[in-house]
Amino acid sequence: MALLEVNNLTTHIAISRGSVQAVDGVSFHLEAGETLGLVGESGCGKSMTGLSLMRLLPPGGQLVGGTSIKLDGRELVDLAEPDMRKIRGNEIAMVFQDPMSSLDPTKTIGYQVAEPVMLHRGVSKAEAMERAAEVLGLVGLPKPKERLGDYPHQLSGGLRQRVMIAMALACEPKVLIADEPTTALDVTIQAQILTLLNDLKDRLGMAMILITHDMGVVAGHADRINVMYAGRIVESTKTDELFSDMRHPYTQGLLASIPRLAQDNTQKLFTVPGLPPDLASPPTGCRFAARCSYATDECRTEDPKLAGPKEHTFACFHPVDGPLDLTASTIATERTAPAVKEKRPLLEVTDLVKEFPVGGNMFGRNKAVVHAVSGVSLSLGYGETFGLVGESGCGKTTLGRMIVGLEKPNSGLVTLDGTQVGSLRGKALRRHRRDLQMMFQDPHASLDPRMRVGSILREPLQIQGIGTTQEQLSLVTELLGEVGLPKSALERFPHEFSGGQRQRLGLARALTLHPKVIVADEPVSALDVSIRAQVLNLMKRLQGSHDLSYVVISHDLAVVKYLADRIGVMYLGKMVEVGSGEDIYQRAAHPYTAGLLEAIPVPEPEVEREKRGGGIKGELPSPVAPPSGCRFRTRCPLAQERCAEEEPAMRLFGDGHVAACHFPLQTPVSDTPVAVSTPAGEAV
Amino acid sequence: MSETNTPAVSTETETETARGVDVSVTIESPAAPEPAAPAVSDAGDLQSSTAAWKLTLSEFLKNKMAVAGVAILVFFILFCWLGPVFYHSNQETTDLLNTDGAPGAGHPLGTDSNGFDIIGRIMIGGQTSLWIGFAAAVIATVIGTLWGAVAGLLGGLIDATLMRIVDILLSLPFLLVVLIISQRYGANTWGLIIILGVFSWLVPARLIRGEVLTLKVRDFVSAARVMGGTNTRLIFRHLIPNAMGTVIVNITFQIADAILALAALGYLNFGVRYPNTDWGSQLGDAQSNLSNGYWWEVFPVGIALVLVVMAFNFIGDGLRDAVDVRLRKR
Repeated sequence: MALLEVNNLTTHIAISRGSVQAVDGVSFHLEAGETLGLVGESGCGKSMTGLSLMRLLPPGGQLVGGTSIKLDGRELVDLAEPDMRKIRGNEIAMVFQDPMSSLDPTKTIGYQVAEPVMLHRGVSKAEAMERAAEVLGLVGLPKPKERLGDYPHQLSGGLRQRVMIAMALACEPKVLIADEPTTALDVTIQAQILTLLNDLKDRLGMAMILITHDMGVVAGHADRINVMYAGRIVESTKTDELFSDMRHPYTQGLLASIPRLAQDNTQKLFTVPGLPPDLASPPTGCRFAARCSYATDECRTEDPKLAGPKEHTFACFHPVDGPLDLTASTIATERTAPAVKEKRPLLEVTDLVKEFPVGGNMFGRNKAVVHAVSGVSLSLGYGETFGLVGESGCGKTTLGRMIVGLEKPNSGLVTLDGTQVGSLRGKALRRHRRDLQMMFQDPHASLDPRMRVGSILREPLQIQGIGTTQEQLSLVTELLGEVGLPKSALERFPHEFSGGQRQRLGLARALTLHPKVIVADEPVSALDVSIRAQVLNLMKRLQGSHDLSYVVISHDLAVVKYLADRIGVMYLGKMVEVGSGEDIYQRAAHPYTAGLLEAIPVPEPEVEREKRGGGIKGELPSPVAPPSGCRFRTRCPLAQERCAEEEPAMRLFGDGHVAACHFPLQTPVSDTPVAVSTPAGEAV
Repeated sequence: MSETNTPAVSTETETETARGVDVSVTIESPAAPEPAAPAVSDAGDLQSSTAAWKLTLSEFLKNKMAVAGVAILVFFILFCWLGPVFYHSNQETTDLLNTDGAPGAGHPLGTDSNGFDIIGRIMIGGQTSLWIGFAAAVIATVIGTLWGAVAGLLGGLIDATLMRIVDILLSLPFLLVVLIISQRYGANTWGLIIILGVFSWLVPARLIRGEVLTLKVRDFVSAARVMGGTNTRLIFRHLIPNAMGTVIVNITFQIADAILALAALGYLNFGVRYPNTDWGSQLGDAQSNLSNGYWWEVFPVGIALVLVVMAFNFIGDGLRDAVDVRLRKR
């Protein structure tokens, strides 16, 4: 008998205009010691499934009749609330996504970890604290006994997530539900936490349900995977089989649309068109039918049941056979190579420095500064795309904001087409802004909720005083068409659009002024995988037709590699390596770049399993007091004394490939320091 | 929704074909039938959702106290402005033969110490009180909103200076200052409106500054800056419209406060002068007669005042909750 047996789990959530069928007839089982992956896009019901198992539903939510959740043969659905409370945190525990909001800021971490022990074991506070120290040690918190009295704000994000895991493990649960446990964390920390979860699961003999949107995360850490779409399980099988021999078209499309590091970036990404259905009024028949290229009338009227051999079930009338052959089937974009029209760079950034004061008072006696960007240089050619990668806090967003003039640099120059941006004032500056536009990360915050789309898109033209109302409208309508939205969108408000559609609007707005450069700050990181590919394709297509140069900022190296001709890797306010996508991916010279590559989860099970335990150790040092010499030395496996004493200079490793490291992984071409990295094809 | 759906698909297909981009992908798979292009466009259909104001309205209507507040308010507005059309009474000349008359024929609620009919008196007093309250609240909110928005947006030294001015003004005793100034300039409707308005914008200024501080770091404000938008444009096109919920909620409470402040002034005999009147002045005139048992001079106007202020507070509470709901469900 399975440890956890879920049958026909159905959860409805009442809202003002009816009810949302968040989870619809989900059945699965979980064996002891097993990790089950639950993957799907946002709104597919994966988190709600996790919450339903704990019977922790949001207001208006309820389990519909017929649902059965059996833990060790014991039915949980019928349990009275006090009995259920004994299960929660004791036999089934949960790790939530956001370590910032899931810990109580007013209680010490020792108390928070000890609390479930006191509640469920009935032990004294001293005993519970002892147990807390033990578990905190288990999750890798250094010196746990001394840190019991720490408050959550004293810990970094990664350590907080470790505390969350310790809380969940304190009572040795049989089942651990990890709901997007690493989504809020940086990629190097993510690798550490995933490895930790895996080790703990093996050591404590728990079963784990790993809920995530990231195929790369489940690839290395799940034994079996359930793929969910629109509240249902569409495919369920062993991890290796799912990646190599999937049967459902949705799984196929989802995996095909993920940009891969090894991919040739002149190819167009495969996309799953359209949006997931609205679960308040789900379509009849197969819920994926509207987006499926194999759909027939049968799919639109009849509901496919989850069927097939016991080890591999799927809900589809027209199953596919394994992954899409991407090499033969995808169409290359119109844009093949960077169209370098002129040799001189379009945008040059020289030694930019930005420091933010922290604390201090109104009399200006600031004690500390955050060194957000410390002397970064880069250059961008005509029609080129420069990608900036790095973990959060490395200064990549600040750098992007300085380039478009949203932040004033403390020192350094931004030169666009021969004009120094910093020297411009008033009208000249406003005129100049036409050439530099920005695309923002959060599609919910980047469009004014009080304005109609028509006004939002026309606003740049109005500010710049371009064209009559009629001309503005016709330009805006044309742009809407280019980003794939109908004209009727003009009359609507932003909240009526999905995240991907809003990102399209953001791109259209950035294009209205015919800019030369668009700085795209995490343009797709808030989007689901299938939507992400649509937006990436669109960005590439419009680059060709509008003669654009992009500066793409992202924490996701695969996204950057797909879009960019050259990539700059940043660490703690410094550029550590610049090179072409292939330079970075295949010939990384800086240990940080190599570590970053190692940490990125890829949707390939064998590769992922092999890398367990690798990657960069430790956490990002505080940018208030960055390490002396090479800033990466505190986490670098190759660091020696010289790294602490002397700051490494940029050295040339090949055509346009530079890195700043004393002990690089590649042999430099020459030992002479290079000043500014130049566009591709122009070795210094 | 349905009428926008169909063109949505066709527009997309047209543009895609026009640009010569093939959206379909050839897939060779023996198990599957020939794949056709999926039924939806790449970007997906537009989904309609309830307009924000409709959500706000429906939530507001669910709040019984707020609806009662609106009803009370509508009643008093009709009573004060339309009332005199149907209920004629002499409010210009004193009638010294009929002072302090008990309710009876001709004067359903009696007469006051000058012989004016009480019902008619409440009507014209209500006009003054409601109008001054409303106008003063609008002035206070306009000043406060601009002050707060400028302080919040510009930040730094300007913010510090502007907000210290607010702090200093807040530490002055409001009623004392208003009394001194109205002694000199008050006594007519506009004088009182300006005095009350100019001295009660401090709280809205703080409120809006807080709101602007959270709004100005949002990406849409950055986007407007990148386009070259001026601070004026940011304030009027982006910050204030987005803070409008807070502003409107604040106005209702502000009206209630202004009506009460005016009542206090009137009670202390600093209200509008004869032959005009306001509810506070009426209460002030009547208080000396309370010991004589002339209840009709005190209670009707007192109840009217309490009801109106309560109505505004109910409406404000209801609006605040309704605006919150809209933000939550967005």
